[in-house]
Amino acid sequence: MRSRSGVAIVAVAATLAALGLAAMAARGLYGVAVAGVVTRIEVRHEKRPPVDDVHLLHLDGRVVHVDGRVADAVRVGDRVEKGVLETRLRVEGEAVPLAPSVDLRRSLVALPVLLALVVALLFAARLARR
Amino acid sequence: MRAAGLLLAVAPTAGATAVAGATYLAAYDHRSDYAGHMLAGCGGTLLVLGLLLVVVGRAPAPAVVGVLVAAIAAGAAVEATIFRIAIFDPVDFAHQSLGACLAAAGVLGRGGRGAGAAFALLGAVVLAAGFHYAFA
Repeated sequence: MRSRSGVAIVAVAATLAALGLAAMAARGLYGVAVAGVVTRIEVRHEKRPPVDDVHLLHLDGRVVHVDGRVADAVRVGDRVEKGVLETRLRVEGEAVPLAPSVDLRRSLVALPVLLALVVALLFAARLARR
Repeated sequence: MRAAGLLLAVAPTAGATAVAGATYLAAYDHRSDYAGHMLAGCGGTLLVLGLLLVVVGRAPAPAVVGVLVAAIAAGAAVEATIFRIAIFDPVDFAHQSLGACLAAAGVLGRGGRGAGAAFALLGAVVLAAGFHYAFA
């Protein structure tokens, strides 16, 4: 039962890590298709402005949460377009290259370390029982 | 002697939590709130699991997983209500829930009322550190 529970904990942790990475990638528009005219660029403040500001692009009724760099690359009235697999955002016909955010790049290190610690703790408890 | 035994029981969990916190603070040196979310999730879950051990004396594996699921759900509810300052942030939710997973892995297979008290104390300290870094 303990080993099954351990596997369940690791599976939940891996799913959450994937969710976090996917959300961070989506903010850089990786794997996200957009097409439309920017009607509003909204900045909402969080706990520590401007470090954790939330940037929302309003595109013809659709709201997309993006990185600050993506929000800075467009203006209200611009027509933007990007396919799901493209790594460039076309703004008024001009290609703007997209790059992984600092959050995303560093998460590729931090989250595997956390997963490794979860696995290590489960193994430590198993060893202690022997 | 007994105190040494209790310290030994929680040492792996305390050590792993310290390494996780240091890793987050180093990796996200541009924003400590991610470390705050992870530590708060870890500390809150450790506190609940520690109190469960104090009251019941043991924490069966399904109970640990049940507390983990409840902690993740409670974290989602808090993130969607009290701490929904701008939006419901799936990244914050992921970090705090990963902290809860670390706590569950740290308590699974470890038991005893004394160890429970030590886990609860560790949880309270880690929770306080989480709040500090979330709003620092």
